[in-house]
Amino acid sequence: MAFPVTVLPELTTPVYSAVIDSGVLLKLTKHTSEAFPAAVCGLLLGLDANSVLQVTHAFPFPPSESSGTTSSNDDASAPRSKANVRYQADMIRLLKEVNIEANPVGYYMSSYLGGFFNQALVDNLVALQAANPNSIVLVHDVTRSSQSSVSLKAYRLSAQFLATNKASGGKFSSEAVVKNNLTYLDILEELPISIKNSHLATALLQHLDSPAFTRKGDPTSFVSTSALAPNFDSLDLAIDPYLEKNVEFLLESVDDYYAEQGTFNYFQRQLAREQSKIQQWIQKTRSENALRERANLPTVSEDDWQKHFKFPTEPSRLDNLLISAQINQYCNQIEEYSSVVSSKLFAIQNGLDIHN
Amino acid sequence: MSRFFAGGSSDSETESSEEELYSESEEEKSEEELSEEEDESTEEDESEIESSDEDDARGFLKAGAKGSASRFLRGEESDESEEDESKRVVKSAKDKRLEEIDAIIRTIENAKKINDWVHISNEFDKLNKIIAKATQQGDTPKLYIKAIAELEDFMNETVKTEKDTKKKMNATNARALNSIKQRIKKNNRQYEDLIAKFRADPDAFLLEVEEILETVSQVKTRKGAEFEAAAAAIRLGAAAAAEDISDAAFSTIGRGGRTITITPESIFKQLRTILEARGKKNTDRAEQIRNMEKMLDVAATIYQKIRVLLVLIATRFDLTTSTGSFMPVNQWKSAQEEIVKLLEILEQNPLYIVQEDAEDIDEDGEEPVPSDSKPLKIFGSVISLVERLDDEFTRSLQNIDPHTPEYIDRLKEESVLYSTIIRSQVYFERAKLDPSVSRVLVRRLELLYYKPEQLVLSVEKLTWSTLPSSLESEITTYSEDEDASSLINAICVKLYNQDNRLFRTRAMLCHVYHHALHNRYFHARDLLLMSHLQATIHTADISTQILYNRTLVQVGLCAFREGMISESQQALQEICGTGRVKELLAQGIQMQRYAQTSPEQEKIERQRQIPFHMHINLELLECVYLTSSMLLEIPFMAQSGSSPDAKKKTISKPFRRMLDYHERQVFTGPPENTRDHIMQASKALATGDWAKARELIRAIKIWDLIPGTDKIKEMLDEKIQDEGLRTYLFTYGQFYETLSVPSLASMFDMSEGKATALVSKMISNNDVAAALDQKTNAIAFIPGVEYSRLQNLALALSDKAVQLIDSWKYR
Repeated sequence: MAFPVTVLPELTTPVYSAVIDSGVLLKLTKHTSEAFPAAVCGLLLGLDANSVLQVTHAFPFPPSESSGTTSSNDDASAPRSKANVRYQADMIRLLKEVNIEANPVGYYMSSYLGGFFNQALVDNLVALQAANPNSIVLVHDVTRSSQSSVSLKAYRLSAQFLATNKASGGKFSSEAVVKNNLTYLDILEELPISIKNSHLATALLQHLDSPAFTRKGDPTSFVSTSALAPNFDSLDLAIDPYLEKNVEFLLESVDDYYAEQGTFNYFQRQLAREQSKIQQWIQKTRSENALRERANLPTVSEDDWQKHFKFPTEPSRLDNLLISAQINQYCNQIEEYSSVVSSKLFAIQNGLDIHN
Repeated sequence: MSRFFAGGSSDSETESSEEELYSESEEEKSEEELSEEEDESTEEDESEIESSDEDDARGFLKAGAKGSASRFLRGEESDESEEDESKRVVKSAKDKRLEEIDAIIRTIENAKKINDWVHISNEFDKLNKIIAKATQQGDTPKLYIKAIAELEDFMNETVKTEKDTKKKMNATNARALNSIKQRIKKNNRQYEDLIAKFRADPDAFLLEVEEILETVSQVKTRKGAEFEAAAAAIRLGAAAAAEDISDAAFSTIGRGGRTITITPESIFKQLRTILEARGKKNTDRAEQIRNMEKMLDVAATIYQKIRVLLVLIATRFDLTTSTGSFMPVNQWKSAQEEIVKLLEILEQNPLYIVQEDAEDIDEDGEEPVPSDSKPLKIFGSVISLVERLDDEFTRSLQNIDPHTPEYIDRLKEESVLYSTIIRSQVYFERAKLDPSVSRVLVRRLELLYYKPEQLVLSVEKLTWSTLPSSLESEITTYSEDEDASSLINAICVKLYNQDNRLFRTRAMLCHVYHHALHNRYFHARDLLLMSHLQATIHTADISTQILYNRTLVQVGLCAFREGMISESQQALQEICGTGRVKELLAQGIQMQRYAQTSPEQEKIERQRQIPFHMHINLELLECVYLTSSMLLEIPFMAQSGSSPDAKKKTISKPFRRMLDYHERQVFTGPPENTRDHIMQASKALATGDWAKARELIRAIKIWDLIPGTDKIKEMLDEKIQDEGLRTYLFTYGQFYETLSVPSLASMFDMSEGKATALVSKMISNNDVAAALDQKTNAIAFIPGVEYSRLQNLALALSDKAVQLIDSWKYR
């Protein structure tokens, strides 16, 4: 398919879109759907050239050994787990031997209703993008895919986020966040995806779509035979389950946000208390110094408060950002869905009115 | 004994140590003999002992040996033998040392023979150590002088020969010799004159030494005999004039003797010295108290008596300074009596006033005498003495195990304390010492507030009967037909009108407690709410907080007794919901699993404990709390059903937790304790089986502790029926289309009217979606008004969002 090319990271130019081979898409869809509802992931191989990231191969990570008991958190951090790193190295070596492109360009993961904004994702991406700045993550949302068409998104950490991370040493202090103008909206930046078929596959599809395979006048056969033709699925009216789940998750996220806000408020109160203490101390020292000067004694420096007081450590703002992003994600999903659903509902109401 | 000397000539070390063993055991034996013989001798004619001299010593030995057999037959030992024994030990230590010295000297001699200076040096060190001890005790033994003198000679000789022969010694030996040479010189300088004496006349000197050496045990016997003689003399003397001696003995000890000579004039001086010694270490307070008791007898004038009493009582309280212990009961009683005495004096002599802000009176000059126009003010504080008396009483109750008769005996003395308090109150009123009046009233109130009416009345009656009839209190005039509430009311009103905030608070709480105890719920509640104490109570001191907790709990119990379940639950929630009931009510120390309490903290906590007789029964409290929680929570759980935040909204967390735990159990046996009863009743109630719930609740034994048990049980029956009906409708309503009221009423064994009323209330509260059909007398349920899950979620979400926005607004 392609020649083994070794690309040096420093020679890479930024990419602005991703081209995904249909084989990769099928592979990852199969993997993630089969493993559902467990969260799984795998490695993407490919090439970044001419501002385009070509994803040409993928392989899944093996389920962790204690897969029965692992929490989703373990699976989410799989790309960096020890066993997987070894597996990854082995795989790449083997793939190289059969002349397949063996350049890791990111990883893919499954998600459940868009709930992928978490620490693990960030950590994975930070690690990957340190090795190759053009690395991406392909998020395949299995539940949404089952609702409608395939939901696949390519993300990578934004430059702002990386800069903030670097500036604050992974601590994400408010100062660094503000300075780098980082909001929850631009933690990740999305890359446009295009799916590319091999020529053989295109030819097959063309062939399948040819009129020879369709019998006109029979709607059922029309639906069953043509994979690309419109179908009745989009008229499905089971609204509740999807929305219910979404709202439930949204509630959870809001709770998390609340808790996060609480810790930050607590920190602020602590800080204020500490500052007033310091202020008092400085006042005291000042008056004491005045007395000391009169008595010709050495004065105490007012900057000595650092010795006596310690500011409480600021909680990381990253959690807040991630939770906000997550809430945003859920809201967007609901909005998207409801716009479709409400038009359906209106259509049905009209239909009912006509009947009556 | 001769073995000792035989062994002495042997060369080897091991043997010598062995011989030490022997000698020790032998010595012990001889000591035993000695003691026997001493006892023997005491029992024999004393005059003989007196006349006995050294020569008789051997004779005693024999007599002792002979007598030992018959001695035990004779039985009783005289108590002097103990005395003897103690002295014998001292003697043997001395002799043992002598023996040791002898042994060491012998080794030195041996070493000399082979010219082993290393050995000599070691032994010499040992010797010096023992001698240092010996000289501390008494004389330097002559044996030692002889030894060092000889050693010096030998050393000089050796050094001389050494110089001549030049190579006789090896290096270590030579070094040892050199070192010992210097040490001997240094050492011998101390004993120069003794050595000189020895040198001048070695024979005479040695004779003495020889004498000591002769037989160690002989020396002992001789000394024993001497000692016996002395002891006998003392005994004789004692027999002659026993009483004189005891007096004389006191006079030698000191103070006691002097106090006998106390004259009314010197009292103030004595008192001053006692006051100065106060709080210092090593003051013998018991001694001081004895002195002052005597002084009290001597004191001539009223002023003197008052002064002595004031100091005496204070000193008595000083006896127990440690926080852990309590005042001995007899001391407490004497203190109490003395306070009464003081009050008596003050009552009879209205011109003498003991005041905290009085000026010090110069006592050296003329004794002050009050006049009608100008009463004499004496510095002192009766109220603090009374308070201290009360405190000590509480402390003793805290420390005595409440399940012993001792506790009850102690508790009986409460009436004495109470009468003392009343007496002092009357005095303060008359003397117009307002701060003291409030203080004593608080004390009095705190002895009364937790008592039921009858008890208060009988205590009052008893107390006033013991007091002189001339005493009368303005604030709390006693009359035969008074009732407890008006008494409490009078005390509290007086306290409300004074300035001290703490006293006001405490009076308020006691008042509320009293109301609650007598089932006047609304009085109690209104008073408690009007006080606004709940807002400030966390700033109060801990004992007031405890009182607040007690009051709150009592109000809750009162509400329960009155059948106000939700009020009761609310009042008890705060205390019982924490799981730290014991700690909050100061009724025992609760082991906290994670908190580490230091011993000091524990001690402080122990001091706060409420005496047992004031306790509120914790099991009853738990039972009341859980029962009222059950009656509220079960219908509520049925109502909230499966709504998303059903788990988060709870009325009583502890109840929920227990219920969960109960439900998780694989097998539930018949109920054993109160909690089991309530949990099983809750389950029965949840399924609508109200009859079973009633039986289970009725079976709880602890209800017997509430006065009017039957009334309580009837009230509970009724509540269970009501709540059972509500629960039933909440749980099963959705399965009905219509439900006839008569059948519902019969199901819950209540009148139709009541069932209708309950259902109407539920309908009007929007608890159930239904309507009453008057025509058929049935409840018609309206289907389909339940929210879907999505709707519920959406509602919850909107709530959350509003909250979030609010929290942003109030930045």
